Amino acid sequence: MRVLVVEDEADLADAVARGLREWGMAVDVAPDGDAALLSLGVHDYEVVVLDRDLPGISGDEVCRRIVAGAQRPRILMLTAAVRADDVVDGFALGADDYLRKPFDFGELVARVTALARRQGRPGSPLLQRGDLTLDPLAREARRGGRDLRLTPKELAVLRVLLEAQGAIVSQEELLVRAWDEHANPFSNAMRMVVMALRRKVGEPPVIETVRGFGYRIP
Amino acid sequence: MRRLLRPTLRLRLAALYAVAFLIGGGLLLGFSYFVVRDSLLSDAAATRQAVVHRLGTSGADRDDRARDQIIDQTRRELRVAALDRLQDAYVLALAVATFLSATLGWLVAGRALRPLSEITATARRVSQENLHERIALAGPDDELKELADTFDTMLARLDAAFESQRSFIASASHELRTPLTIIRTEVDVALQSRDVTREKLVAMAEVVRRASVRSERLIDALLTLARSDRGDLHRSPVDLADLARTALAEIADEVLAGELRVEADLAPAPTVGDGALLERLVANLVQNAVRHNVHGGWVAVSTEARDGRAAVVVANGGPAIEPPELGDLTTPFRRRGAQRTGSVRGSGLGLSIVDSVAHAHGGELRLAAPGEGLVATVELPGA
Repeated sequence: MRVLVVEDEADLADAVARGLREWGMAVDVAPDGDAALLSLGVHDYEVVVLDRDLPGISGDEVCRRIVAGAQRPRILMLTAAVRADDVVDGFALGADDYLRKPFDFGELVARVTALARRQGRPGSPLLQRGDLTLDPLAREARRGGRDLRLTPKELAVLRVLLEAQGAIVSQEELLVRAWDEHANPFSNAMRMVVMALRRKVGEPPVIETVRGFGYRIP
Repeated sequence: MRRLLRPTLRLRLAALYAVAFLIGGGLLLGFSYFVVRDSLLSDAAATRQAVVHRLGTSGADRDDRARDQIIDQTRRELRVAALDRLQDAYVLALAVATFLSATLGWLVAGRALRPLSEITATARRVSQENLHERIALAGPDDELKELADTFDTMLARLDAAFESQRSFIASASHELRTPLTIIRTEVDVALQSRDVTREKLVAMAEVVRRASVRSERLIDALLTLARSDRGDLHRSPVDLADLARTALAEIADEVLAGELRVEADLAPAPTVGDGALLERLVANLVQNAVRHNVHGGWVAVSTEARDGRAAVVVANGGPAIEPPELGDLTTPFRRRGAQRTGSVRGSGLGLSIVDSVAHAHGGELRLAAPGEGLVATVELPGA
């Protein structure tokens, strides 16, 4: 799951990005409106965490352009404003959710996760395939009741594979959805993570390699 | 019912018209009444003569006294009848005309006073929420229009004052919330992290420290601004040259880091004022000049006593400023180029404080953009 954080306060953007990565999300950061639009043009995001008060192109304008665009990631707006009008305005612009600063980080994660779920089919927050279950909010993957204790990256990969619901996930797609823009596409980081994930999931193996193409959990 | 009988201006004006008409009309009719009565009374002998003449010789046999008596009596009766009729007619006419004039007065007063009710209605509607409403009275340039226009100007001033207050509070709360949000997020993320390492904690602590220093600085700046706006001054003799020297010494590290060339021409510039606030004023000017500069640029600081005033002038190189931007620089939380501060170093209140402190001391801040950088001049009353 890939998230874009648009926030001009470097410290805050960094903290939010680090936090979301702990939940197995691939996070890119844009410090202003121009950078945000640039990133949005290059990558597909499922959720955009958008600060409303941005220098340069304002958060409102970024929101308007996202809504007008063909790709339509979900938008979670952040603002320091306190008035209810502001919240109403934000929704009128097309934001899907709204959070006031300062916020509880757990709440931010919950909202981002909920928005990502709305992106696809509605349903249970629990991802499941056979005896393998993943609760993205609790960061818990279980196989037959046994906690797998995954790292954030393994969590991210498992989530993408489970969300595919049995379809094959290409290596490119996995790279895009589980890694951020700093990932090196030529490193074998993905193979290492998948290997570690397989070891933790245990016997019998559930992650199939489709040679020359990608992976799937049938 | 009470409302109807309220002694409104309209009612009083109508009554005034009626009374004025009553007095004027009464005087006129009274005068005419007496003229008529007088003319009826006069020339009793001539009347008698005329009657005798008409009666001819036949009447000459009669007793003169008896004839005269008849004539006089007839005359008296005619006169009384005529005057009675006249009196009745006058009283009726005066009553009708007075009533008409009262009605007319009521209508005219209502018409003339209609703008007043517009003014009242607007004044009643206007509150803090819709201070942007105006009466904008159309019509002749009379006293009521003057009143309405004065009221409009007052509303405009109030509106501007409330608006700047609102935007100040909004900006201040935004600026205060930002470091709090950073602190809270850092701490939340650290608390919920699965593998907390020492490095992560140290990194978190550094960010949290930076954010708390920033909010501290912001609160200090807000308090300084509040004190200066209130005009709460502890006056003592101060030399701006000393303050400039201190300010330059304090910022020496940043000057060095930016490889800036500093020209200081510090002649004594004695004034009387609040030492702490004036120190802040000079320090803000110097910090501003150093921080909004280019690497390897220059800063010029000079102080002098001129025409019985103490002046400090701080100029710097760096990016040019468009003249329309100049006025904005003293607006709280406004900064060159960007709408809002984003820097960790400044509070966004620097020049607002300079402006406020200068005003509190009976001086002024002047900003000029000579095509490169900024020239800030503060003049205060000399000691």
